[in-house]
Amino acid sequence: MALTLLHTADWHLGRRFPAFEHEQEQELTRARLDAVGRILDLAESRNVDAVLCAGDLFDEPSPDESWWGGALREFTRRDWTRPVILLPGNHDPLTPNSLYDASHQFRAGLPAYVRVVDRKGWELSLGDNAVVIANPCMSRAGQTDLAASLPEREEGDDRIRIGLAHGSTFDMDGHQANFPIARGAALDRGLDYLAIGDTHAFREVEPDAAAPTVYPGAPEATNFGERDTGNVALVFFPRDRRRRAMVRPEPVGRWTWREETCTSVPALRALLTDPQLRRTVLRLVLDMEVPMAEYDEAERLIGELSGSMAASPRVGVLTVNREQFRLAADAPIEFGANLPEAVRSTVARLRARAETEPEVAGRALHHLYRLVKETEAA
Amino acid sequence: MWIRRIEVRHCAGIAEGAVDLQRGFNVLHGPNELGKSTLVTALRAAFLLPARSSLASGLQDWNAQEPPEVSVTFEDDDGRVWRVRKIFSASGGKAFLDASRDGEHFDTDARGREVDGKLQEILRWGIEAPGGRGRRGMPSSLITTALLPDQGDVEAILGRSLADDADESGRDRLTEALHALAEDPRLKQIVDVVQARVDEAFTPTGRKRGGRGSPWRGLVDERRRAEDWEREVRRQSDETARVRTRIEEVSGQLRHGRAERDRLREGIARNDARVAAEMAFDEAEEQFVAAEATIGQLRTNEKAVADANDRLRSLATKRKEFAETLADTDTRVETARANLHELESDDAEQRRRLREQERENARLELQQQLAAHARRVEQAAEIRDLGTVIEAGARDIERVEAKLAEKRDLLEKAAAANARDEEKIEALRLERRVGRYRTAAASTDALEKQRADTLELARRATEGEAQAAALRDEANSLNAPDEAELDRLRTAEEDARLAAAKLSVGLTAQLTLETAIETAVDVDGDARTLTPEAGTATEFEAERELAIELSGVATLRVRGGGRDLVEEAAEAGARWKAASSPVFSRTGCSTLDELVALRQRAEGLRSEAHELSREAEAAGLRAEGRNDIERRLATARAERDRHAGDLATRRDEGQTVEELVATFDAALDQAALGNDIENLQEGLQERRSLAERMAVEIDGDARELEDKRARREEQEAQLAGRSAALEDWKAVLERAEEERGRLDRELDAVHAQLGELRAEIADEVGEARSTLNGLTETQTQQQTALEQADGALGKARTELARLEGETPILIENAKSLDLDALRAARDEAREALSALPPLGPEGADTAATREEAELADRRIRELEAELRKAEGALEQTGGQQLDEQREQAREASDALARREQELELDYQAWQLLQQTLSEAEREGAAHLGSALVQPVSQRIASLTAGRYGELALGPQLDATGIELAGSEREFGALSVGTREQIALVLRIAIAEALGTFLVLDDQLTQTDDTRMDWTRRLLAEVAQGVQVIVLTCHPLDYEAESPDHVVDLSALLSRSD
Repeated sequence: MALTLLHTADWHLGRRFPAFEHEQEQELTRARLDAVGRILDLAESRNVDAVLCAGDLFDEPSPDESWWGGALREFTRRDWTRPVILLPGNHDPLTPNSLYDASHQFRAGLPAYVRVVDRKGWELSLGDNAVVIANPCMSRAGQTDLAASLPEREEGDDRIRIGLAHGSTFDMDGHQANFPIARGAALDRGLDYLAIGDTHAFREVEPDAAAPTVYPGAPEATNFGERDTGNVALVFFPRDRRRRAMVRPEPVGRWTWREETCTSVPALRALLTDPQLRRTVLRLVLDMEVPMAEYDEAERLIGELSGSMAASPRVGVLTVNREQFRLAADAPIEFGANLPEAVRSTVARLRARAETEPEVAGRALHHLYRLVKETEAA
Repeated sequence: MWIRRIEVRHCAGIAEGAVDLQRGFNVLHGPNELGKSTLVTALRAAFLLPARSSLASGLQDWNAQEPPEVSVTFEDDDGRVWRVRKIFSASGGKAFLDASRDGEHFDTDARGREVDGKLQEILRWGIEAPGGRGRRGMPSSLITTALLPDQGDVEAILGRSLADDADESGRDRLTEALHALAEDPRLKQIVDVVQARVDEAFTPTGRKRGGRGSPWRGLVDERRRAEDWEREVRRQSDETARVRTRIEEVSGQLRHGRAERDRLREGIARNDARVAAEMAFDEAEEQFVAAEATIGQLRTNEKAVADANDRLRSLATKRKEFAETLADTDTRVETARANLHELESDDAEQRRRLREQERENARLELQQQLAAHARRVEQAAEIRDLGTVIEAGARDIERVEAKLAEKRDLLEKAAAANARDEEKIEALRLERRVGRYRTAAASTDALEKQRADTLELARRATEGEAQAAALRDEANSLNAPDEAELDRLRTAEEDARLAAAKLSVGLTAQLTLETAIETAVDVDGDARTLTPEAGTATEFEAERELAIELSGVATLRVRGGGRDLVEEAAEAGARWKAASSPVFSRTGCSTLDELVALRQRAEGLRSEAHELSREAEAAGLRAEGRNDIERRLATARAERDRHAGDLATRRDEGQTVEELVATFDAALDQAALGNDIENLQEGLQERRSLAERMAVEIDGDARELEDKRARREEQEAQLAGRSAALEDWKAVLERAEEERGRLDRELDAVHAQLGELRAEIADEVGEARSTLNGLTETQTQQQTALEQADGALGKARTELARLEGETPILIENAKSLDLDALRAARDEAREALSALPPLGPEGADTAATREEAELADRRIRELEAELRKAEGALEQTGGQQLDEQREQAREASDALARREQELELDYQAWQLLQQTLSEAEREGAAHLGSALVQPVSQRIASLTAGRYGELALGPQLDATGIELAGSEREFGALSVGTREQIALVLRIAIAEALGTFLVLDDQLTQTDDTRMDWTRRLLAEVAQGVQVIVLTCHPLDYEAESPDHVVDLSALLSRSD
């Protein structure tokens, strides 16, 4: 191979997950920083010639120090000469107050091998045979095609030319894409590879084109429903420049975002046996109407999944939607013998109440069931 | 509640007295008539009677004028001390209620009429507040009847019911008290937990708690923050949407404007092209027309030459004819002259008339010949024109045929080229399939190897974990002490060693025996036996302890150091032993060093286990990707099999896919193959498109050719028909003028003859003369005509000479002209022109259109500026990220709303449970009797040795009877003693439930000793939780129960008499 690159993008360090509870949010934001370490380790183990980071590395242009500090530590703890190129994206554009500005502590603290694309038409030679050319995002939104405005290949230049830009290749007529990237930009600019960022899924935009245009996707997913996340792209350039560069996704993500609907207690029980749960963000929807014993077991299983003061959670991050989780209040409930009369009467009243207020009365019945069992055990 | 002190003054024979009481069992004793019952009455009055009540007159001291005064100090259930003071007087009674925290210093809390109201609030005995209309006499209720009964009516409780109370407070208090009494411990536990959960979230009034620790607080704050954020993002997002909408509008306008401008520009360009094409056509047409004119001129010239020759010949002929005519005329003149004479005869007249008729006939015939000639000439011209049209059509057909042949040739060539390329593509596709098969097969092999490696890693991970576990088990089985334990042992050993060292002071003993005797010596624990020689001194030296035992005589033990050091050493040794023994026993070691070595070994094993675990974990982590590899392997296999399936159709008989693959070059460049296939397909596609277009054109041309041929055949048929009808049409045309001239001339001649004849007829002689004159004139004219013909002949010759002179020049000019080429150029220009669309409306006024296009340009520039401005605004507002943030904010808000709803539902459930439990409990507690039946009945059964069963106690604590021998008996059927005893047991139960005091004033007078003993024991027992105040004149009866407080009232009460 003439050249090997690691192409990544969309780290979104410092991204908030406000839909989750504080501890869960912290776990998810930390996971993004962990992914950066794994990406750089992978670059080292594969001995790539350069690492291209195609924008949106931070979720905002001036993130908290805890985020850029973590990234800075990952860079400074490596004694590399292999260039790592950081491209400002639309989430972290190159603005006077951004962390890419020369006066910012992050920029100032970067080791020499980490380069920031800080002007239009930025260029870096990778040896004698290859060159990276890039255009940074300088605002949060824009209509400029940053790939199309890369300089063209000059006559007689037979080096491997790698373009680096951030934007959207969504080119539906009438739709306003942010920083649109037109199809065919790679060939038009005389590039052998166009490294782009923005979309969170790994995607080769024009698989049949002579020069690949690739989104590596986010190294860790950021939401439910995102597909093909958790990768970086390894790019291999053959010595014969007429041959197309080979692109391979390489998994680096640890977390899986998953939505699961359980319609029975056995299904919930089976879910607990999944060994991957610890690294899963699980949105669990309970859609079942079950008798009290199963209701109680389901609650216990959910308790196991979510953990407690005494036990670690089985799921990395869990949210439970109980809107369709109902107690079959008309099914028999085994409360055991010697039930105090007032409790017996309360059970009867709550069951009657469950006919009109199934949710609250069902829960009240379950609270009572739990308490009776606990007092029995005591 | 309990009563701390009672003070009375001027009360029914008691001048003054004060009794301090205690919690528990109080026995107040004194002789009869001392005033014990007065004391109880005073107590009741203090609690129940208003100071101005006339009922208090019963308290009036008959030996004194002063109004009776009572003061009772009591402590309520909350530990607060109250003192009620009343001076009873119908007119000037006074009342005070004092409160104290410490029981010593009181402040007045209420006075006068307020005292009784406040007092009933504190006591909650079911006594109506003063001022109300009610029953007469001492206020009473079920509680006062139980606690403070009238001495003469101790059974009153059996006829009492809460329903008789004037106020609900007693019932409420008893309900609460009995409820607590009757509560099941499990139920209480449950209720407590439920209440605690409800209290977490709600205030006692049912509102949500808002302070620290409230479950709502954090969530509400979070939700507010999320809502604020969502609002802000929504605002920004709306602004962005507005800008976007504007951008879309402006973009739309821009697109429309550009399209309009392009349309105008295209129209202009199209019209320009059309104008240029028209000009080109005009020019070509002009050139062609000019050339045609030149050639025409040549032809005209040639024709003119021919005509001139013809004319010359004709003129010569005419001249000859004129000359002959003249000669004839001369003859005729002679004849006329001869005839004139003859004409003047009748015969001559007859002949003249006959000749006239002949001439007339000749004229008519000539006129018919002229008309027939004109028709023939016209037909001949039509035949000639048709011939020209057919010739032009034939040339056109030839041109179209040539074009058609050319296109068909091209089509065939394209089809041949396509067939060749399709073959090539098929071959390349096969190569590409082979390449893909190889790649898939290689991927499959590589993945299988990876899978094998991963399995090996997993195996190693499992094995490593097992080894690590075994090592940990081994380490644990060593029971090695931990570092802290070792430290403790080291310290203990060091202490023991130091303590022992303090005893090592050095000892020397000299033993001289008078008689040799076996001696046991122990030097610092080293024991030996010897028999020293008698009379010889034997010296022993020890470091710390020396023992010499003279067998059967004495034992001397000497230790170094003082007693305290010895004890200290012993203690240190004992501590060392106590600390080390279990460890040595557990580990099998005997020294500290061995323990250290054992610990190091255990640590080594654990370290080794840790290392193995770490390696196993690393291997396990590396093996984690196995599922992914399996999945990828399955995909790779499927891919390989798919390609193999494709290739299977291409192999030869008996050939395997691998053999087929081996026949191909090992280094197939997939990208190059793909490019080649794509290029070939593109070429193929282009040729197919071209061929389709050409086929359409060929069809068109063929149809056109057919039409032309059909037209030509039709025209040829017409020509043939017409030519057949007029075979000599060419000659007709050629001689048309000549013939007409001849006929005209003949007609003129006939006219002339006719005229002559008519003149002859009019005046035969004159005619003849005239004829002669005419002939003479004709002769002259003919001579003139002859002269003119000579002139014309001369001119014709000159003209011919001129025309013949021009001919070579015209021929020379025509030589340089290629009429076909010019025609082709003109046709081409015409075709080019016809291929262009007709002039559009833009072409009607190009200047206006151009102005319109410029206006469109200006508008576009304005819109572009506006678009840039809007885009700039979008850059400021945040654009797409705001959508993401808005989505995030919405999700956060939804999640918090769900969490809040979840929490709300959960706490609503706790609240509902609490309310439902309370309702159930209240319902259960409404039957107050059921709470007391069991304890009261059990006591009565105990008292009566099981004779009586369950007490019939109603919901309002109304006792109606008791079970005896299986049936209920009314109280009236029982003995007085039994009624007294049942009443007391019930009163005790009520006092216990209320946790208050109970006054017994010389009661159970009808009770036998056995039951009295039982009752006293019961009183002593209940005094653990109830203040029991017994007033008796037999204090010794209670000695056995060891009352807590025994008071001799005779020492405290002074009689007024």
